[in-house]
Amino acid sequence: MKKALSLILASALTLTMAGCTITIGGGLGDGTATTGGDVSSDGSFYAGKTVTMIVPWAAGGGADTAVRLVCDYAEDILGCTIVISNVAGGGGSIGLQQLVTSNPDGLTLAYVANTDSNGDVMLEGITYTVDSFAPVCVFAEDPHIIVASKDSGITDLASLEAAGASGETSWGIGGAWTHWDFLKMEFEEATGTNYHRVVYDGGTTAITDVASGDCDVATPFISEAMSQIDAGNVVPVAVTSAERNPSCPDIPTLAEQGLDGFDSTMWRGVVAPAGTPESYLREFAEAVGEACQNPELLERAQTAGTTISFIGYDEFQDYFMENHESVRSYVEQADF
Amino acid sequence: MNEILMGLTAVMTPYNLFICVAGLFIGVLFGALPGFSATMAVAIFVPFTYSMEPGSALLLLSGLYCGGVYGGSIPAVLLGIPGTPASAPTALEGNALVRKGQAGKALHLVTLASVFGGFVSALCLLVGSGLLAQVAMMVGQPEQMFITIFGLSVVIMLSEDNLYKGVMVAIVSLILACFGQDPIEGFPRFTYGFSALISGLNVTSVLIGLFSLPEVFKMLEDPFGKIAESGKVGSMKMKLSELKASLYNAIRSTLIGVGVGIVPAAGPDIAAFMAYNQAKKASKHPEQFGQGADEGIVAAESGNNGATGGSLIPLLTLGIPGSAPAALFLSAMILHGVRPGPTLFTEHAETVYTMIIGFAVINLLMYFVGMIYCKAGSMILKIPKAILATSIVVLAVVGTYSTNRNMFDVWVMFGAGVIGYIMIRNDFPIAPIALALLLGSNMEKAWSVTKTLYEGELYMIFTRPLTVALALFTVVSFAFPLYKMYRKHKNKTKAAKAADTEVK
Amino acid sequence: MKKSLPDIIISIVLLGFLASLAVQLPDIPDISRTYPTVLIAVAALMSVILLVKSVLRYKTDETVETNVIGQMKIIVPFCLMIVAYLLLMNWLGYIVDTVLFILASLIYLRLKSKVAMVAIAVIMTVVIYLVFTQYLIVVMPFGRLINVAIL
Repeated sequence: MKKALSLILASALTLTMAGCTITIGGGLGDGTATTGGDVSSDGSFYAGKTVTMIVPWAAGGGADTAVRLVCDYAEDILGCTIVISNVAGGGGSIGLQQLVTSNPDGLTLAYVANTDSNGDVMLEGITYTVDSFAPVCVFAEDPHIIVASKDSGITDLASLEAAGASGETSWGIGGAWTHWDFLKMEFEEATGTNYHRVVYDGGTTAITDVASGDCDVATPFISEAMSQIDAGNVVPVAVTSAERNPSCPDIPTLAEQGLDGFDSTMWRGVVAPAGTPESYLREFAEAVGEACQNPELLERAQTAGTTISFIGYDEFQDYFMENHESVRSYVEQADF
Repeated sequence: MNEILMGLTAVMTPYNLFICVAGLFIGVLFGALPGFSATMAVAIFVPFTYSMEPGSALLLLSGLYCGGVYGGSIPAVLLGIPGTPASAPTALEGNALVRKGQAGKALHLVTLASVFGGFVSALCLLVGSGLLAQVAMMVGQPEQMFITIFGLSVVIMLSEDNLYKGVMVAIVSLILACFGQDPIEGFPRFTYGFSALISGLNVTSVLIGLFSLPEVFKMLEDPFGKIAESGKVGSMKMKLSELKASLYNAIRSTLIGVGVGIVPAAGPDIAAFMAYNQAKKASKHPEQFGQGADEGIVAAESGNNGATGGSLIPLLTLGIPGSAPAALFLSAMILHGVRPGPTLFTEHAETVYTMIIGFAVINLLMYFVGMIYCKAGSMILKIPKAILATSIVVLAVVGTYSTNRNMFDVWVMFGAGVIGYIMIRNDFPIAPIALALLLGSNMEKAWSVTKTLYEGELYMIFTRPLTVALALFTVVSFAFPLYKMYRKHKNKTKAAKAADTEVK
Repeated sequence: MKKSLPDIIISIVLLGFLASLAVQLPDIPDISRTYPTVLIAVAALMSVILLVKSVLRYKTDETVETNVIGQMKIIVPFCLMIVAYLLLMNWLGYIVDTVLFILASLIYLRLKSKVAMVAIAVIMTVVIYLVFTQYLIVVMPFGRLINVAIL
């Protein structure tokens, strides 16, 4: 017995020597070993700290890639370490649930996109609402490209609208209840058309079916579409953002073709749990803004097919709420 | 030819060879540890490749992928726990061989079959990717639907002794595959109000629990013994004649693997099951299957490694990933600006040929890495069950947790393990669960897209030649084993009658 | 125990499970309800047939001697240990919880050497923890009551 006890003590000792921190009785809800709150002498809060960035999607996906890219540069500016934690599952809700229950100490942040703040009306069993979040900033806005199959005869907005009169032209989307669906609804509302909704499990599957002629129209992201467009397997119709995209400067926007002011993109941003001190979030947002001007980042983003576009702290507060309301109204009137 | 030489010189640099070997070593380890998988190995290392050259990055991922798929077979043989779902059929045979004291031979056979399957699939990728891309292009949603149904027909062969229970398990598992958002409207079905169930049950977690925990519980039935009663690993030596006998089987299984890999909806796991199924159908001694048949191991392993190369064909030529790890390849490639699709082979020839040649080289290197692991792994048989059982539980927990970093998945894993054990104790086969979960959601997706595309005139899908061929194939695959069973049954009763009259 | 008894219990449990799914069916939008409805119906039918068959067989069935009770006496407590391990994960943190579980499990399974017991518990936990947090950048569960973290 003595021998066992001494062994345990010895192992405990080696543990301590290995440089471990032991906190006992951290109290409920105090998740982290390091306590936040102090601002260093030069007024920066993040310097030397470790931030957990929750990405509610699997590693290697579009969201993950974009976040990692931006955090890679923001880290250097803030002088902190950002750990990307992919908490996947539950359609993104598990990661966000984890965010809203964590300490609002500025050290836990999460990735967010268009439809996430409406999780409580769109999905079942979700307890967080739009008020659970403190919006920080937007770092990317990815437009979709509307492509059509060669057999469909659709080449521009006019022929696309004509094809949408009967409701028989099929329109492939990459997933239900996400920005794909809202883009289709926005387009139909703006043009007074109606398409046959076909749900695929991703933009690539949709565009492949367009290439083989099984589906008429699809709206993949740039990274999913360019290769098929370059190979001439599909006909590009328009990009859905307000301006042309640097990755494909030859493809006109919908606005240019007569659909005034049409702008529908999938934005990617950062949120914190509600109650996080504003000064911390401003500091973080500013660093992301600075990173978004780095030409090296912009170049890497372009090869990765992500369109960097920064919206700062103040502007994002309103934008977040406007977007929330607009998505909510579409959800409520949705009728497939 | 020029491109091939270019690729070969790129792979043969010391740095890239090191990357290949390192990828293999880590990949095999991930594949071999219960609770860890090839997908997880690739997922965890994708961020590491961001700072590498595109060619080297893809070599590392290829090494992890091939190593992971192969590595799953080591515990499948030694413990009956498939390290990855792709080795589930191997596990059906492996444990029986260990009990016969032939673990060493089984491991060698597995390694050879894997190397063969992987290498041939790399050759298919090199020579036939242009042509096979045309085939992949023809595989639309209706074709995918029939392929998934065809895949389900394997259930019948898997549960021959207990057909009723096997089919029942498969159907209930198809229901489990419906959990979470439906493919058309995104309505979360059967969530019981849990937000964690919105995207359904995590298939990886279920399979980890299902395959590893029951073996742990079996160990506890008699916790004080060693794993193999004989404790012997046995010789690793093999006769040339044994290899010759397996060659035809290996070729057939590899081709099945490549073919299944091309289909977007199915990866190495389904390939292993299908190759195993065909081997059983073709075998002269189908009754040996489940009792340690060499043929079963060879088929499963050359099949699943054949699918590794096959699943890269739709990825490289169309940008559609043919398996979960291939989906991670896709994002790594996009991030490096190497955009898969029709223009890939002209615009990024060097990177692509580096990867394809590297894929062949990696599969050859896998033999040496594999044998090192097999030699070391055999020592598992000498570890006391108490330590082994504890370690498997700890590894399964950390493996499940780290895939998605949520505890809910760990509970799902545990639940699946307990249910799996109860099922095994009561003669319910568990292999159909893996098959149905892996195919179920793809079948429903393909079905719902087909239905919306051909609304009101579903019979029109039979104007597609490939669909007709696959539909016929599917019907035969369901009817053939049933007919065979019926014949067997009839013969038995005949024999019984004959015996009866003789007595009279 | 009679051989058909487990089948009776399993089919009853399965029917209960299917019923719990069936009550959720009406909420599902029409368009995606058919497929699960058909599956549930077929599964229910098959369970009923299994139930009836087993019940009919029950009387004539021979009683088989099994060691189920004895084996359950070992397995059920082990399951409870796993449950405790998972429940305590978020309270004790990964390191403490795992060390405790490994020790408990090895004691329960009567590993003889105490040195090996402690060594395995500590070394395995620390290695897994370090590999995951340092090299694979996976954030392990924190403890709310005690937290041991190796930096």
